[in-house]
Amino acid sequence: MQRETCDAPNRSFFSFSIRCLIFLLSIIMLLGMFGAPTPATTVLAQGGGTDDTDESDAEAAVFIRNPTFEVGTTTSWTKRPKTGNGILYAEQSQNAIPTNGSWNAALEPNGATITMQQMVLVTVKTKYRLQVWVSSNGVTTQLIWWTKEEGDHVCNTATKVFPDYGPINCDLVVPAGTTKFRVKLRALSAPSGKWVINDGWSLSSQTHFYAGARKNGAFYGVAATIGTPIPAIREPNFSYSTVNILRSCTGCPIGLAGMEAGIIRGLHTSCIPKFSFSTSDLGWSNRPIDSPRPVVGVAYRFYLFRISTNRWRWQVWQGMTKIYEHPGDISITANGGFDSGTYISANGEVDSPNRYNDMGVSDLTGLSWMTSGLLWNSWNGWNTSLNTGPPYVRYDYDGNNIQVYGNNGNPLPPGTPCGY
Amino acid sequence: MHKFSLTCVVVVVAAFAGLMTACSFANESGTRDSHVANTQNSALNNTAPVSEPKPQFFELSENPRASKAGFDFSVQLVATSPKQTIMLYSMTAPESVEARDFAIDLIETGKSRENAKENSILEQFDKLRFGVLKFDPPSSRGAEFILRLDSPQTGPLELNVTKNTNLANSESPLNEGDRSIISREGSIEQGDYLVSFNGFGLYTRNLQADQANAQPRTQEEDLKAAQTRPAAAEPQQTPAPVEPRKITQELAEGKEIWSDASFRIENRVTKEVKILYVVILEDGQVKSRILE
Repeated sequence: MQRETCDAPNRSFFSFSIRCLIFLLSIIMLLGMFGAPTPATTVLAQGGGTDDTDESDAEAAVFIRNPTFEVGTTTSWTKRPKTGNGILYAEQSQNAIPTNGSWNAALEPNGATITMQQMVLVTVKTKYRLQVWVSSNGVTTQLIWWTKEEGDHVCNTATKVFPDYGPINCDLVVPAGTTKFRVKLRALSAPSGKWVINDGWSLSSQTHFYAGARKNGAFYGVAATIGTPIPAIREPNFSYSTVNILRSCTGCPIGLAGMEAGIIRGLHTSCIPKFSFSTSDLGWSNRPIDSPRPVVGVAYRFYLFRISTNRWRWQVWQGMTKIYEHPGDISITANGGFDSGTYISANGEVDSPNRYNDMGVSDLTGLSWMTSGLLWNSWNGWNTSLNTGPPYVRYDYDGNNIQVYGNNGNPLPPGTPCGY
Repeated sequence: MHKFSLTCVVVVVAAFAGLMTACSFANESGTRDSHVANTQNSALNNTAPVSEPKPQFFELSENPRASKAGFDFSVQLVATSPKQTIMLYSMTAPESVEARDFAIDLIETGKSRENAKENSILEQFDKLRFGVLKFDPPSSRGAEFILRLDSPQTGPLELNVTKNTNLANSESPLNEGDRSIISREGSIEQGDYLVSFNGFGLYTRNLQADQANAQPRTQEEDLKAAQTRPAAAEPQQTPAPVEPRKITQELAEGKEIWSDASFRIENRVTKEVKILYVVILEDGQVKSRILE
């Protein structure tokens, strides 16, 4: 079932060489086949119905099931037409970037046009991005979403030739009345010997997942003790545990004035956790701090507070020791400045277009807010609960503590290293 | 023998050349793969979203409440997602008036009136009732809701439930992650009862009293108060995700939990206090339990 080739990356040279040597002496020199990934002859045939009206694959989830094929099979996917020469199977060669392994699904048309597909649950009138990584030796593919009411929507036609192994996307809005549809990858008719591999399926209506607690009122500072999480960043984006002090603002980036501070990992920091802050004047672009750096598992107390009109301080404490203070005051000048917040929040965030990032677990405890008299109060509850939806990011809490954790729907094994 | 050996040498040399070529390709392949990765990373970094706070698109109106002729209706909590709108309300009414006697419509700014998909009583404390209303999801992020209630006993009543707080994106459709649950703040008197939002999660103390009695402190005092977990000198494993409480799990019956919240119900005459604990499930079901 597993296709072995010499061109698999991410393996040690020696193991690779040994395998290649055996392979070479027995086959390669005789056949002259090395180089581009070559389809295997082992097939995992998929059952199912015969056409799009068939409901045999009606089982559906809010995510694409088996999106990475790292289980070594194409389970949850069906091939159409069910019969004929075209084949669908799992193979192991190239590592698509968003995934952690080298398994892919492969389609061999063998003279026919064939499709792999599965049903997913979706939310009506919601925008989604459907994405899959593809590569081929010259087969044209079509990325399709199909509804019972409207049939196929062919939204991307591409011929990606190895070694180009990259994503193709569809942006779509779910029509009224549609609660599920099929995602499909169609390989157009091509002669025997042609193949297309695919990996890293995702269907997402957003990339930025978020959970938090928000409190309304008049605030002049916010504080929290934040534990440094161990996120698994598999995509070139980030996860973040943060506190904010904000007010709504017409004309400000994303309609908010204010500032935030916390621990970031991913964006601009590779896999190194760093203290970071941003403000509306910075367009909410992160400003990671190179030194000092947070230590995984250690909790730090963050203070953002006003010291006088439109002058704010950002401090980081470990225990009773201040280990960092932003040099100089922080002032926000655009859109009327920022002299107090109308809400404060404590949050966990993870950005992951293909849902391969995991933000880890982070406690945000001892939530405090500052009065105009420069004194601190405990939150004692909050009035807005934000949660982008399980299994993305969740929290549990009492009146002054929250916990944020989670991923974007594709749980990674414990200990999965950070890196991309 | 020599000829055979020579043949062998040729074959081995050829095989070795083939091996090196194959492995060279493999490395090249890896390099190409990395090139793909770099290209992709670069492309993504160029458009990488910033880590930005999430805007608040709407909030509860200042007093989402309507009263008339012994009837008193107040929205306590609004939960919105791209799939549904759920409202928890508290209500006192003359004995002759049943919840089912009311027609309840939701009016969303600029949209047609919508009948409640569901209006059910969650719990009853003598004449005080807690109920659940369910409607379709908001049509936009900045949806402003008005409830219109009508009954033969009261005639039509209207109450503003939410107001838009972020005009920048108010017309945008909701996306998958636009979910929020907003509670009423403080306490209200309804009939003989004092009804208070008592925090998200299971909160059995008196949240309003905790807030009122909070003692402001200096930063040093705040730092000392925050030392609930020791500052670790050595790296520790981060904590495991907190499991939902047993009562939460019981109410959820294995289903996905969206959120939970507590309400404090105090009988102003007898001073008896009960906690109404509410769990909202992902599928829109609302479960509750009264805690003495």
